[in-house]
Amino acid sequence: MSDRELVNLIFLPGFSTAEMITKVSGRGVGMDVVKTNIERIGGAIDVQSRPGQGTSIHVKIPLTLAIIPALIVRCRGDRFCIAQAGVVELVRISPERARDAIERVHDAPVYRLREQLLPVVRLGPALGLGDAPDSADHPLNIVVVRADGARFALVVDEVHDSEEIVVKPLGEQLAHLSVYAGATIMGDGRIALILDVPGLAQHAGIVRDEHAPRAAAAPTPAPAPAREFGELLVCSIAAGRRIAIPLTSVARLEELPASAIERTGGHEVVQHRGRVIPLVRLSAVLGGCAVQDPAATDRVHTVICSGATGDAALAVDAVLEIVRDAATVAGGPTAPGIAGCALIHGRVTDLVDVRALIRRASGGEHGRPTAA
Amino acid sequence: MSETLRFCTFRLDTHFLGVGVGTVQEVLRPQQLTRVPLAPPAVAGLLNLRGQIVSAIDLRRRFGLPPGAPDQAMMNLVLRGRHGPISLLVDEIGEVIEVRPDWFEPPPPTLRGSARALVQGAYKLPDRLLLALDAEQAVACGDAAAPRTERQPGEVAAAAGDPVRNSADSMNPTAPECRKGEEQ
Repeated sequence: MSDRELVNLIFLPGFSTAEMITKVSGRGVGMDVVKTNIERIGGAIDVQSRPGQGTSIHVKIPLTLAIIPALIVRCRGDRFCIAQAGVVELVRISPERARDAIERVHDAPVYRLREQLLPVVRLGPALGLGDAPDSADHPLNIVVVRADGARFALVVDEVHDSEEIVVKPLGEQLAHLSVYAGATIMGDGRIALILDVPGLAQHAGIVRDEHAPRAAAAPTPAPAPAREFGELLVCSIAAGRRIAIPLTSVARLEELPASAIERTGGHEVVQHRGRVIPLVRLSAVLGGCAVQDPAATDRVHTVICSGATGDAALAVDAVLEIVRDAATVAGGPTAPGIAGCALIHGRVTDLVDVRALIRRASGGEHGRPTAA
Repeated sequence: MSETLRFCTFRLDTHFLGVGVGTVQEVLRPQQLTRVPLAPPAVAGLLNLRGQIVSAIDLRRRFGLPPGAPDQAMMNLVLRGRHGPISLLVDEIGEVIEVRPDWFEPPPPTLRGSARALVQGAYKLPDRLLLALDAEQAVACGDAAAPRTERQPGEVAAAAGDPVRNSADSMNPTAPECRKGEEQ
């Protein structure tokens, strides 16, 4: 073992030269923590030591935490960056063809790329900046982006170059905006925001399953065809009823002690990852079932669901299984909070409308949206 | 002889306000701001402070005051925040003045509205009142102070007639890894 290797032993966890150890010191943890943290941000640490003479420690920390190649686009006069990793391809449609390039499936705009329909998100309206004036002599610029396996067509005003940008974090006031991954300073000294493609997809309500928009466009007068639901989480609630929740809405399954349920302003809430989210007892909310005495059970099974409008914990009796493409539609909405019912393995199963439930659960606290 | 406190004073509309000099990092002339779509309304934009990205808070909005004249360039009062510098947009920067702690009075119970949370109290100067700004409250306009901000953007998009959103929401792919905001 060389001297250098010997010296580097001090970074090993549990390595200590101390003769005395106390509860906090001499346990061989400190330098390990230092090395781990420096390497985590892409830095390096090196020690040179000569017995009897001294020790020098070199810490190299990257000047900036991330440099990424990004595509620069312009929308409503502002520049935005999109990490190249999320960009699939760029499409420019000439002014003559721009009018008809975006088709509609019912009220959802789609773009047909090599006979595949991609949902369309117009960046301006998605960011609340308004749409570009409808002009016949402007080409249509589309950035095809990918987020979590779902592709969508992002319509921007202009596409500029690709640049290497330095990702800088946004302040605490803006950290909750999931549509941005950060910001960067451009060559001219001005700031451009970096779009977070998964966050943008979530904000714009892009469907993960690319088949879904097609299913929605199926002719309605015909007998309802077997729709694909993707993966569904099947749970049981009171009185033996079964419900199914789209797996894409499910963030976590949690089994909570009854004592974890707290109350605020007449609502039941639970704490999840440091946030307070409403608890929805599906047995009570979906109607027809007696409210179970909360004291009767000491463990509560909950499904933590995330929607564009917030999170909620749905309390169920038991989580049964995950089924994939095994559902056939048997009927439309039967009650508020139910999107329809389906036959899953021969049993009638209500499909939960997660968005409606979350809206309902948080509606009392936030009020109704008002049209701008 | 009692100790004195030093306040950096500034004007906001007709109010004469001050913050402790210790919390002030620097004062900047009007800067070019980059707007942040979907941000809480009190965030006026971002400014480039020698390579550092700093949020600028529209203090008039925080106080519920009408916006300044369109041609009025707002001064930046850059404070040392808990997580780095943060800028307050104010009408005019005044002098640094010394006040005595015994001049202080808590805000009267009749002070209501947004100013209630933002003003710690008043120092009775010989000729006028100096309102002591609660800097921490003034810059708190993210999640905590405005719980609706996260849903407002969605409402705006829905109201603006973004049909993708309306039709596709029931199968919303809200995978946990998408939720950047809560991890940070």
